[in-house]
Parts: sequence; C-alpha cells; structure tokens
Amino acid sequence: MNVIDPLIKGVIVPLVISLAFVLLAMPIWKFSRRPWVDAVFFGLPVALGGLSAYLGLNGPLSLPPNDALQWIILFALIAPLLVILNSFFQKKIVSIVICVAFFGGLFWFALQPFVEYTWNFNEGIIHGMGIVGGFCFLSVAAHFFGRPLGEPSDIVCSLLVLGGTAAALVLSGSALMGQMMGAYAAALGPMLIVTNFGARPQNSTGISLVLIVACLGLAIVGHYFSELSLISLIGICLGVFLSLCGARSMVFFGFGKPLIRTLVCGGIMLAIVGFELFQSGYI
Amino acid sequence: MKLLRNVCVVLGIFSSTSLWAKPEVYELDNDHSFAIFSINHLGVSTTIGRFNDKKGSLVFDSEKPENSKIDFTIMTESVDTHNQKRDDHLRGPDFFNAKQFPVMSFKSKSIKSTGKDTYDVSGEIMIHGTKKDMSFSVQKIGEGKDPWGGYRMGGIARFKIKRSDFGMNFMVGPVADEVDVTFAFEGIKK
Repeated sequence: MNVIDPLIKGVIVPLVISLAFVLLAMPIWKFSRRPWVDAVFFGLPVALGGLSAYLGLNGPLSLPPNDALQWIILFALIAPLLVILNSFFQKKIVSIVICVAFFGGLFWFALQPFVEYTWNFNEGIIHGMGIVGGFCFLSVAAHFFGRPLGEPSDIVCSLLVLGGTAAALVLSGSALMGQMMGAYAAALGPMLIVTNFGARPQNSTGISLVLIVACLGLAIVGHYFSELSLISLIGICLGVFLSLCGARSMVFFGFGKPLIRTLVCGGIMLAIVGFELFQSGYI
Repeated sequence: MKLLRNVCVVLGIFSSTSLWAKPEVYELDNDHSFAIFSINHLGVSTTIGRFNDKKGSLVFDSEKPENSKIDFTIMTESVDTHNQKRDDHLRGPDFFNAKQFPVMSFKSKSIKSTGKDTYDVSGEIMIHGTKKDMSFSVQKIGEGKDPWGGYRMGGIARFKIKRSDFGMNFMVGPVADEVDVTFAFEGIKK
C-alpha cells in the first residue's frame, strides 16, 4: 500500500503552495497594509492548499459541487474574497447581512439532502438557525475579539484544533475528510514563518473565515453525514473559538498567557480524540 | 345492425389475441432479487457485498423487446458486507455517502434482443450523484406462474463499472477501481 502518494498530495503540495504565497506576500506587506492584501495572501493560500489536496486525493471538483465536502472547499475559497467585498462597505449592518447570507448559503448547499429529504420545515429552521448562528457568532467574535495573528501561539492553537479535528474525523468514519483537515493544517503551517519573522498581517478576518469554514464546516459535515458525535462537534467549536478569538477572551478570565491557551486548546482536542476513540470502539 | 355486430366480434377477437398483446408490467420482488458486488482488496482477495433494499419495475414486451423498459433503484444505506464496521465506513462520505446520495438507479433507454432470451440493455446509471450511459447484457432465466396465483419473470445481468467514473475515488489502489456487479432479479406481474 502506497502511503507516500497521499502524503505528497495531502500534505506536501498544500504546504508548498501556501509557502509560495507567504514568501511572495512578505515583501508586499512592507508596502501595503490594506485588508484585501491580508485576505489574499494570508487567507487564500490556506483555501488553495485545501483545494489542491482535494484535487490530488479525490479528483476534479464538480461545478456546481455535488456533495457537501466540495461545497465546503468552494466556500473556503470564497471566504477571502468576501473580506475584500466587505472592505467596500462601511456600515456594520451590511457586513452582518453579507455574513448571514454567506453562511446561510453554506448551510443550504452543504446540508441540502437533509433540507430536502430528512427535516420538516420546523426542523430545518431550528438546524439552520443553530448552524448559521454559530458560524456568524464565531466570525463576528473572531473579527471583534480576535487580533492580528501576530503570535506563533495563535497559529499553534489553530494547528492543534485542525489536527485534533482531523483525527476525530478519521475515527468517526471519514478518512477523506480527515485528510482534508490535515491538508488545511499543512497549508496553515507556513504562517508560522510570517508570525516569527514579523511580517504580520493587520487584518486576520480573511484567514479566520477560511479556518471557520474549513474546520467547523468539515466538522458539521462529519456530524451530519458521518458519525462524528455532537459532543465532539461542540468541543471543536470551542477549540475554534479559543484559537481564533481566545487571545482576548482568555485574558478576561485571567488565562491570557499563550502557553496556557495552547495547553487548553491541546487538552480539548485530546479529550475529543479520546472520546472518538472510545465511541468508535478502538479503546 | 348485423354489420355492426360482426365488426364488434372481429374487434373482440383481435383484442384478445397476442397480436394486440400489451407489454407486461412486473414489479421487482426485493426478497428474490439480489444486487451483488465484488471488488479486489489489496490485490490479494475479493470482498463481496450486496444491497438489501431495492425497488423497481420492468415493462416487458416479448413481441417487441424494443418497447421494454427497466427502472431499478437501490438504497445505498442497505449496503451489507457482513461486517458492521466496514458497512458503516462504506455508508460514509469516503464511499457511497449514503446520506448525501441515498439512491443508485438505472433507467433503460433502449433494449434489443440479441438471441433467445438475451438482450442488450442501454441506459443511464446514476451512482454517487453522477449519471453515466452504460450498456450490459441481460439473460432472461424464465417466467411462469407461482404457487400463490401470481406470475413471475426473472433474469440476471453481469457487468463491470469503474467507481472512479462516478467520483468515488477514495483508496483507489488498495481497494480496486473496477467493481464486478451482478444483478439477479425477479419481478411479479402487476
């Protein structure tokens, strides 16, 4: 069994694509600090890394997408462009409407079989409000409480969450979605270079949106289409919140040190993986 | 008046003969129909599975086979390889993605007789949400009355498909791309 091929397509290629973008972005950041520059060079590489992994591992993406995973990949690509669109509007209400429309679209397309065949109208409304509300809450919280991803601990926390979610997805019955999550983690890796060498983006909304769509989107798909438990899904939401918005919120609770936040994130993800190991019957 | 009566008699005779025979409609008997697949595993063995829930209909015109029609649907959730863990994985997003794509189906477009009780069937197959045209041969096994007063007909079709043609690409290699399919069906005349 060839294990090198999935490793190259699912890890090395996304990492190289993201690294190329980051190296290209570092001199550009010196001259321009506009939101679209951050969105394009800091968010898009991660989304493109995910796309390249899917193309390598599973073949071409249908347009329009024909399953939930493909919709997640497409929406992760759209997310940085949404930040650029958003930068044209000054009013916050417009940004919120765009945010709700974006995540409403993601919910509608990714969970279409449930909307069409499984849920009645009331169930659809309840699930829709819960999922779209959760997505919007995290995005707005990341925008207001998050900070420019200026500390390596921010990236390390996100990597822990993506890695833990990848393991949980594999254990819950979807190796492909686990591989995809691993690919997003690999594409996020080169961002450590950015945070270590000081070329830090001022606006992290682009990458936050990509990570929310990729991580939370895949976890939701894992819950509805595979066997990922609701407890793990809630834990992953908490992990995403801590990694993207936790820097300030944890200062509020007196746990502001990066090491403590990283340990909390790691602990949550370990608990999720342990729970999924138990659920799947491996322990 | 006599002429009218004669016309009615002639029409009655014609309508009761095979010259005016209608195509017969059969409903798939799920209990006596089998959708079986076999696939190479790691290059060393063959894994065999089946789908337990199927439905469909067959319109059969023995005089004009080209007027016949086949319309079968298989519920992907019913995949059964005699191993619960493997079945759960097969139902998941890596393979059949049963919640996303609850059914696989086949609808014939043309049926041609190729010999005694053998037919070439062409039509559209849908697996994993992807539709493709395909052709295969069907052997009619027999037909006749059953002990409960009904009338039955059955046949068998064997063909190969490539799962990657339908976007089911996970682990192609360790789990083969080519899948052997056998569909043994029995229909009850409606």
